Amino acid sequence: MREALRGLTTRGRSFLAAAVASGLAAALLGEKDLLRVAVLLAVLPLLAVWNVGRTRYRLACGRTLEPRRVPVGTNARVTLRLQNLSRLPTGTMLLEDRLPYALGSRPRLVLERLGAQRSSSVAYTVRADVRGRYEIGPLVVRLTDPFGLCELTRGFPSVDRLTVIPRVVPLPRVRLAGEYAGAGESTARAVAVHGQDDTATREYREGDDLRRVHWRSTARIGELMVRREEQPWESRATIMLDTRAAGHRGEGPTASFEWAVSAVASVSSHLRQGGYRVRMVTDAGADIDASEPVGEGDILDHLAIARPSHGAGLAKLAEQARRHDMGGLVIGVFGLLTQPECELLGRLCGNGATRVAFLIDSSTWLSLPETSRTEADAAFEVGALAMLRVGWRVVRVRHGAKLATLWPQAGQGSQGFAWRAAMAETVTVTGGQS
Amino acid sequence: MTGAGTAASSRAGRRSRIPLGYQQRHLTITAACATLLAALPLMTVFARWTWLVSAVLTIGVLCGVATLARSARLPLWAPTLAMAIAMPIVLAPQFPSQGELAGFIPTGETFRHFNELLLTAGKDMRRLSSPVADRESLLFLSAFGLASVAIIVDLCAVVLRRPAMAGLPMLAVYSVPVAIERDSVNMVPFALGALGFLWLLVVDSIDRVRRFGRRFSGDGRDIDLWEPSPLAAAGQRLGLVGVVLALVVPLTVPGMTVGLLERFGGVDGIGRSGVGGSGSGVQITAMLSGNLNRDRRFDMLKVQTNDPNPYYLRFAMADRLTPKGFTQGAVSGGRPVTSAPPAPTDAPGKKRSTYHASVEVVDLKSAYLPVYQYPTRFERIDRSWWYEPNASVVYSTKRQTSQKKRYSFEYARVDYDPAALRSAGAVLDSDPATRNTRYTPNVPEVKRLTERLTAGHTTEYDKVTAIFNHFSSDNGFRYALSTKPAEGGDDDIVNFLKTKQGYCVQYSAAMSWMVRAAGFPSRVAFGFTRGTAVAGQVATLTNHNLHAWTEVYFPGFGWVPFDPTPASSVSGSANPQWAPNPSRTQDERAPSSAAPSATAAPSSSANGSPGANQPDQHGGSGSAGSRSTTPASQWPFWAGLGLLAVLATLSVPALARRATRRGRLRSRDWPATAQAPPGGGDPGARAAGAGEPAVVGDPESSRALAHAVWAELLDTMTDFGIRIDQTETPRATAARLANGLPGGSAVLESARLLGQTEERARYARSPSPPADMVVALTAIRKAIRARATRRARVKALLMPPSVLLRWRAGLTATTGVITSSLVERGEAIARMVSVRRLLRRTARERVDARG
Repeated sequence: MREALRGLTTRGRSFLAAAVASGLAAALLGEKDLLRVAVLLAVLPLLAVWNVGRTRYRLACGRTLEPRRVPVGTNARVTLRLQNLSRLPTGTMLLEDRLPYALGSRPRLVLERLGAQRSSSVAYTVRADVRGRYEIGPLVVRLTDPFGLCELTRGFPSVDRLTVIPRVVPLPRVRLAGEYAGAGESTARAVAVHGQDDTATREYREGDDLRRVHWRSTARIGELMVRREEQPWESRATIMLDTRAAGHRGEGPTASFEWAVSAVASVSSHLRQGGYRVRMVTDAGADIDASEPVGEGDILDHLAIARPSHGAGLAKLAEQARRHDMGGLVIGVFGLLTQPECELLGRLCGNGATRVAFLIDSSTWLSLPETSRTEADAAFEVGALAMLRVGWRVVRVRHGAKLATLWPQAGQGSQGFAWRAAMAETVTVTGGQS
Repeated sequence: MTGAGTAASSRAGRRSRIPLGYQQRHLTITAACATLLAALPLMTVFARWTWLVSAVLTIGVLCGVATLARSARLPLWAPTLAMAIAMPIVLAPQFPSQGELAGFIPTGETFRHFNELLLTAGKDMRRLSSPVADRESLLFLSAFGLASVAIIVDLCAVVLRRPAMAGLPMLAVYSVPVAIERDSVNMVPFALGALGFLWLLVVDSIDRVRRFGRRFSGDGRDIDLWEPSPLAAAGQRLGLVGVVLALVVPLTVPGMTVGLLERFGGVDGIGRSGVGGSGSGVQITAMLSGNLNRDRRFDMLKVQTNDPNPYYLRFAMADRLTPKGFTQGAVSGGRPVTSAPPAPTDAPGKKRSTYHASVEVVDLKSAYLPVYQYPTRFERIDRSWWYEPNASVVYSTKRQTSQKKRYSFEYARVDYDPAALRSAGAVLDSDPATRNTRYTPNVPEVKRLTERLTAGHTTEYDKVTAIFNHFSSDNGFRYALSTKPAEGGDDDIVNFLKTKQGYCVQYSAAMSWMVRAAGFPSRVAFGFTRGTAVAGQVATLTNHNLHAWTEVYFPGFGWVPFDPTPASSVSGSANPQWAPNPSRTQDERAPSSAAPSATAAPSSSANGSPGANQPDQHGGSGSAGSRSTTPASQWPFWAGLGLLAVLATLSVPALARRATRRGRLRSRDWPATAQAPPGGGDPGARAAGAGEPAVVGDPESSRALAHAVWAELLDTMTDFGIRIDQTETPRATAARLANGLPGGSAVLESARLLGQTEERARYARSPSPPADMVVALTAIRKAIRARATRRARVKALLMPPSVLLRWRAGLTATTGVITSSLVERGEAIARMVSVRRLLRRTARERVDARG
């Protein structure tokens, strides 16, 4: 009740004040008719307080997000489920779910009446155009009286998180190095495919080949054990994301950085569908090893909140990638690179693993005058050639390019002509120097 | 028990689905209706209902204008402007000045006319008493004021969205009758006005809630715009409770007829007390003429006195003379009635005798109490009434009225000897009695007439008698009520002297004027004639006994009454020996009972001679205590009655509970006729009913009985606060109940029996025979009661939650149904008369016609 008294609105308070004033006037003038007005004005807020505060509503509120992880630009559905645990029907409740403004305006709902021990659900959709992690909630319930004299605000502290992940585009199936199966043009198959002996054993069963008896275990356990024949082969891939702010251009959802993030998301999803064990490394220090079965989510969640980093260099990225090197395919999405950076990257995974670099010509995200354009193109070409020279496959990404159309290039072999051209240039250059 | 659905999903924050125009129109109409309701207190001011017709018309048109303007989606301020412009257009045909274009377009002439009407209204307010007749000026004032209030309310509620502020103009309307009426204003119009205000609040608040967001109901359904909100039902309940409290609480507050300001601040009561006299719109002459002219005769006073020949009962006097007649001046000064008034001075030729009188006011609303001249002591009048000895009136300093007052007083009746009056000295200017009472307007005709009449007389008494006798019917004066009363023309009294046709007000005013013209102080007194009074009996005075007469000041004698009105036209007129009625025939003129010696008491000090018929006299001073003498004898009765009423109210739930129980356990025909149990009767049931023959009625009644007993058991559990789980089977409920109860196996068995019977009644093809379920129920009830705390027992007995819950549910449902039906009907009407729909239809018709 005291709480409800504190919940008197301005109107309620002024009613009380007016009641006191008219009550005084009635007493001073000796007018009973004025006293009626005073009593009415005094009684109304009190009745309202009683009406609002008489029941300690026991409400349970649950919120479900479906899905909890949505790509940019798609809708997520939020279902609020309210349950009245008390034995009295509730009055009218004004519900407002607190949302960050990026998710749109706050949903406001009016629950007219919730019967005793009943529950009700209401759903609304949210949509975010910027990736990130958003808090939904807390739900604020306002109880009000019919005259607008008293208003109680109660919050449900529970908060749910909605992760808005970068857009994931389906990629065409392309045979890549690092797959465990089949013979392709991948020359580094034997090296790229890793695995280890599975020492798992099981009991001998009728019909097992005696040759498969694992004598060492048999000796240890005391009964016949056989080796399990299955040899899990794993495809592994490391995806590197270059988050240097210096390497990217543009602002907001159309920045080249967003393209990079979206590309990493798409590639990692694609590879995971292809059975790869995917590891993602960024120069901001993230190193996510996506193991079964929630791994993909981890990568996407991290990508959802990835921000361009300042200060970190590619050295960090290279070191990060090298630290827990597990071999296999290496795919990098890079912004603008300088020659030293390329060489830094060249030292990475020197053991002949397939390395694909999506080089983003982020200067094309800006509209530049002609001369600057030429310069920028030239600078980019230098970087690309440098990458080629240090043994990366280079896929050039310009503004407006679709990852799905670029992806097949990642599967192409050593890019004969371009590679040779790069090599030739090296020769020329060396020649020139000599 | 979980009803869940999912409201259709929508884009978050889809908020303003309600068309703005709709809610504004709705609010507009509500504001207009609330204004009309708030105007109802004015009904106590007007005698007839013409003002309401005018108000409905005016406010209705203004509301229509605002609705149209809002339908047209004009800017926010436009409807208010439109209303302001429409106001003179509506008022012009109702109060025409003949200068309007086409009968309704106001011109400068119209506004001049309005101005005149307002000025006249100001005068009328000062002159007329409430309830007033239909005067154009006052009707205009009310229509104009209400139209202004309607515009302000509309501005506050619809434009500014601050409906609470709209209460102020409504309060202003309410304060009009509060200020005018001396006693409490009728509570019905207050209640209606308050409800109108609350209605406006609720509509606005619900609209606010609606616009907060998407509405959905408890079962997850989206709620349409047209559907009523349960808030409306709650609003109705709370509003009703609030209004009832507002009506009841002031009744319980004692006193309050006296303002604190006056109680503590007004030591001498001077200055403030004038308000009680003439300022409140009560004009004595208007009241007199109104009441005398009324065909219906009604009782106003009941008087009882032991005086065999009293003079007139007197309650007011007028001493301000204008060419229009006499008006009351403000009465002030004097002393509270609790202190004994000064006794009239003795003088040779003045015979003073003390009598006692008691008065019961039946129907007289006045700031003055009717008393005889020269009261010497008052009883049963509280100290808020003051007595002013010069004017000789008892008036209220605290805005009380004489209505329904009962009081008694002692007074000194003075008879004057004509010979002694002749010896009265000259009037001195320093005499306080001459204040205001000698002024005459400069009308030469009256002056000349007076000079002609008084020529040849020397003493004051002779001159006054000469003037007095001029009003004889011999001189052609005729009593007639039919002439226009004094409120009419400017020179009313001069007219009367010419036409010689009038009634007591004109007679007395004319005589006073002429006496003043002759140079002596005089004034007009108002009161009642004696009616058909016999000493010692109760005389009932009606409105036809109202009277006015002249009082002339004689130095040394005081104010001596003269009644120039023809005695034949006034029932119960007095005929004292110093002023025999000029219109009486000669034999009548001999004073009939003028000799007071028979009953004359020795003129001793008034306080020293308590009358024989003063049983409850409280020793000279304490009238504060004496006020409560009458209630004191009655309060045990009322208190007892109140106590009874409270007890009766309190026992209603208990009685209802009892009635429910008895109805359940008795109305089912207890199958007394033993029938052979059907083949294969349940052995368990038979065992339970051991000791009694297994009786079985027809299966339906057994089923009904089982259900009734079970319902009773559930209610009992509710009463004692035992949780009821609707999802539990009867068997489980019974087991749970029995577990917590004392009383051993008997109770356990009873509970099991009840549970089983109910189970069978619900699900089995043949219910178990009703055995002695009632006995089992009684046992369980006893066990439950034994376990409960004393408080729970009392609660279950007096305020059984089961009954209260049922009532509450019923109340909620009923108000909900009523509200929704009302709202639906309202919406249907609103849609039917919707301007846009009409427009669209005409547009469609036009298209059709063209096609």
